[in-house]
Amino acid sequence: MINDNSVKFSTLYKLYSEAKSRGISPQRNALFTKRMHLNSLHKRALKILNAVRTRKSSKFEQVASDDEYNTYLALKWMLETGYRDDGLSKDYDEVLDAAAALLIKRYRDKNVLPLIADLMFSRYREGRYIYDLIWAYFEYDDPESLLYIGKRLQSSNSKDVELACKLLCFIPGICDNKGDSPAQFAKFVDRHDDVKRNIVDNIGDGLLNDNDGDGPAKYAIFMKWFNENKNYLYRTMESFHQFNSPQIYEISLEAKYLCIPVSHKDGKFKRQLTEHEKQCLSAFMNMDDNTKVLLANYSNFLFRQNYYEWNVWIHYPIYEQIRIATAARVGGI
Amino acid sequence: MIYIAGTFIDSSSIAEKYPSESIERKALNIMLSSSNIYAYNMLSELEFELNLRKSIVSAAMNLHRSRFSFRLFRETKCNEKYWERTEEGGFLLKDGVKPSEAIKDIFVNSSLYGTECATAMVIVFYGAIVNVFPEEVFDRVFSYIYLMDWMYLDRRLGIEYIREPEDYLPGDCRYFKNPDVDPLTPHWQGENVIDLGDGLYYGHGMGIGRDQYFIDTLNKYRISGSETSAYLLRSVTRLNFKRLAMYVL
Repeated sequence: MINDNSVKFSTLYKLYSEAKSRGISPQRNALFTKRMHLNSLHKRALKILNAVRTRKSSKFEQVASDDEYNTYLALKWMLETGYRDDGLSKDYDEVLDAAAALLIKRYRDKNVLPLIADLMFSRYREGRYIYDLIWAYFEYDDPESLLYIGKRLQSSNSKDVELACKLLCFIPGICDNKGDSPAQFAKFVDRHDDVKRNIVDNIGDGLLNDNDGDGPAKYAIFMKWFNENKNYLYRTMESFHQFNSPQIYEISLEAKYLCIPVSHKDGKFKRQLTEHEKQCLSAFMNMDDNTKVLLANYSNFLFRQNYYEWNVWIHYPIYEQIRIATAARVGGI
Repeated sequence: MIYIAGTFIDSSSIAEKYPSESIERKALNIMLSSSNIYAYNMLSELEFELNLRKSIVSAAMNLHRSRFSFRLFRETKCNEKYWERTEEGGFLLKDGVKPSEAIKDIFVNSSLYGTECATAMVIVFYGAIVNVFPEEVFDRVFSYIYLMDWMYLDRRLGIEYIREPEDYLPGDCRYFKNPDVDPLTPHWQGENVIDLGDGLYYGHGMGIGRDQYFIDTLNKYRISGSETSAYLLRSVTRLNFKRLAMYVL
């Protein structure tokens, strides 16, 4: 009897798989649903399970079209109660990945991000497949998602730190060798001594320990970067499907200079610019890249330190702004 | 423009070495007519790059003609005589196996292999290098190989990512992005392709075609109702030819 609030998706999945292996179609077999005492949530979860297995959104649309809200609840139930049994089978894992992708892409559910991060990191420790989860995770246009990854830099597990470094490689100071070092093969070291021997023979064993012990320092770098830039970050279109060290988020230097938050989706200013801001921006855009970085850093620093002084500074002509910023020279972004 | 050991090279002196329709000549023509300066320490460096670019295009064509199949990472397959399939779907070179033989086997016993497009690009690059490097050099330099995707790249391959290149040359890897991909088919989030020259591309699982062919194909795998089309990104991923040349020149 499965009509119980404490029942998990994995239980339903196992019963479903068992019934299928015996030639029973659980969805169409009224006796099955009656005997199992399936409630409406479970029945909908079974429909979703069948739909996502086809790998066609049109099938999922059919399920969602008659009751979008309960379909969302069923998906969420599948992921939240099912993730602890991740690894049950390849098929089961694929269903969890699909549920995660739908919750992020279709339902914009931010609350499942920590859970998806947990899944990514636990699978990585075991050398299991994580790419669809990584893709789904970064489809959510909000830099807050980086926090759940950043905190793994403090983990005592070196695999956690290793994956966090890979995913946050675009942040200065997190990944020194841009992710293409043979040290990445260290992922297999525990299980493949031959690889370890080859790496040590050819490259030296220092690279195998890129992240050993420096996680907390990297976490401090990450948090400083995040707090300074979170309002000015927007998602690029780069992904791990495309190359090995994608810039998942980019800083809008224009926004950082004017201290106006941007849309994380496309980098556009969240509000209309005043005439003075437009003039500032026009002058700023004529500067070379290094000067832009200098001005953006100083502006943001001053804005957070002392709004009154910032307001005076931003009204100076740009060459005066540069002179003051150069004299003060705050740290890099 | 091409600049070798302190001198700009004019087109006639070098271009006539290659047949007019050859990949080398096509790459050379783009370099010579570009406002970008392609600088080399010696002529043999340039010749090495042209040769390897030709080899990349050949490897892509050979893979296309083979029975190497498209499979999701969860379902990849490989010849276990040479490779160990890892839990995440990658192929790890087995101990005691010659790397050059293992790479060549993918092109020979192609029906035993199947994977996604990103891994196919890495295989094309290794397949091109193995045909240019002397066997003993290849085996020494690439003594361990893990074929997965871009996340696991041997630094010695010297793969570079350039966001806004001046030119696109045959043998470059490019990317068609599908921003509104159906969440149930994330493997169609984009297609890695090899530039074959003359506006043609090879993408594993899709075959050979022009840009519109890849865009149209990816558009079929969008989330329902989306009007955001797939498109070709400006960036390129390419081998670091000068770095690789150092192993053989």
